[in-house]
Amino acid sequence: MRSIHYFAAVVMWVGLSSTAVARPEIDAQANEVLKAVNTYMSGLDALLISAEVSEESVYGDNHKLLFVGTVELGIRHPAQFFTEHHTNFKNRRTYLNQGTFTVFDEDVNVYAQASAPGSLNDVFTKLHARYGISSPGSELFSGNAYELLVSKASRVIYVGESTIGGRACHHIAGVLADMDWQLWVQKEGDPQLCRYVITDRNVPMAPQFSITFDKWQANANISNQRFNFRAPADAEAIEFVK
Amino acid sequence: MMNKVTTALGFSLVGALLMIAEPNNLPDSLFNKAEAVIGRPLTPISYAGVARRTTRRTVYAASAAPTTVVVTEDNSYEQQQAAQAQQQAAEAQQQAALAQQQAAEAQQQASLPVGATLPSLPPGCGSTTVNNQSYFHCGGNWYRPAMQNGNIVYAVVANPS
Repeated sequence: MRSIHYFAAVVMWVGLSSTAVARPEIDAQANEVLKAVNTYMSGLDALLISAEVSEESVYGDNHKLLFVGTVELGIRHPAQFFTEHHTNFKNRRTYLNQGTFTVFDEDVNVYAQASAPGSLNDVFTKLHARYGISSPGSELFSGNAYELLVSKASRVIYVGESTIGGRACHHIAGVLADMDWQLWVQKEGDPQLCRYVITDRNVPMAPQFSITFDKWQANANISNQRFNFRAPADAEAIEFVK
Repeated sequence: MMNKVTTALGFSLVGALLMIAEPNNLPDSLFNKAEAVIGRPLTPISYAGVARRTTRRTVYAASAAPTTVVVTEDNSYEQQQAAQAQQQAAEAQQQAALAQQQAAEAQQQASLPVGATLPSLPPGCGSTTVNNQSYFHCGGNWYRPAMQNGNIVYAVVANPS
C-alpha cells in the first residue's frame, strides 16, 4: 500500500515538475502539516536548535563540492536571534539584538552591522533586499513559514513518510519556478522539523542545501548574553556593500 | 607492467580524491571563484518571482566579471613578479634606472574604479593600518574588506593617506 502511495507520489512529482500551472495546487495532507508547522513555530517564545548542514558549491563548469558543518541557532520572539555556523572553510556568527543585525566572520576577524528593526520576518526580508543576505532555512523561523513556502510554489505535494534520526517524519515537497524545497516534519507529538532541503535549479548543476535538525529545545531558556554581540578587541568593523 | 600502471593510477586517483575531500588543500582561488560565481543555493525567502531568473543571471554575470579581473590580475602579477626579480638582479648596478622603471610600471598598472569588489585579494598585497582601519595595497589599488551578499569581499577604495 505504502509503495503504491510512494509510486503515485513519484509519478505525480515527475508529472507536475514538468507542467507550469498558474494557480498553486496544494495537497490537502501537505497543507495540513504545513499549517501545523506554522502554528507551532509561531507559538514558540524561544527555540534553541543544533543542526548539521551540508551545502553544495559549484565550481568550474560542472563540478560540485559538498561542505558539511554545524549550526547552532537560537531564537527569541519577537526579534532576537543568534547563529553559529562552522564548516571547515567558514566560521560565521550572526546576531539580531535590539534592532541591530551583526555578521561576524571569525576567520577574517571582521564584523558588519546594520540597523534591523521589526519582526524576524521583516528583518530577514529587508536583509535580503538591502544587503543580499539570505540564510537558507531562515524562512522556517521567520514566523511566516507557511506563506513563504507555499505562496510562490506551483505545487506542494505529500511525498510520504520517512525516518530521520529515529523519528517518523512527513515528507513534503514544494515546486517553485526554478527552485524546489523539501521539508520533513516530525509525525508524532509537536510538528518539529526533521530536515529541510533546497535545490536551486537556477544554477548549473542545481546545488542543494540541506539542514538536519538534531537537537530541538522548544521554549528554551536562552541567556541574554547569547544574543549580544561583543566585538573581540582586535576585530575590525567593515561595511555592507551592495 | 600492467599492474604497476594500475597501481600508480590507483594512487593518483586516491590522491586526487583526498585533495577533493579536503577543501584546505585546494587552491584558494578555486574556492573564491566558486563562491563568487555560484554562491549558495537560493531560498524561498530570496525568491523574487518571475523576475528572479533575469536578476540572478545579471548578478551571475556581474560576479563573473571581477573574477575575470582577478584572473587577469593573477597573470599580470606573475609577470610583474618576474619582472621585479630581473630588476632586483640589476638593482645594484642600475638603481636609478630601476626607480624610473617602477614609476613607469605604476602608471601602466590597471587601476580599478573605487567601489569595485573582488572576491579575494590579488596575490602579494601589503597591508597598512590607517586610523585603526586595515587597508591592502597592491597593483596601484587600495582595498578594504567589506560584506557583499553575505560574503567577505575586497572593495576598491581611494588611497587613505
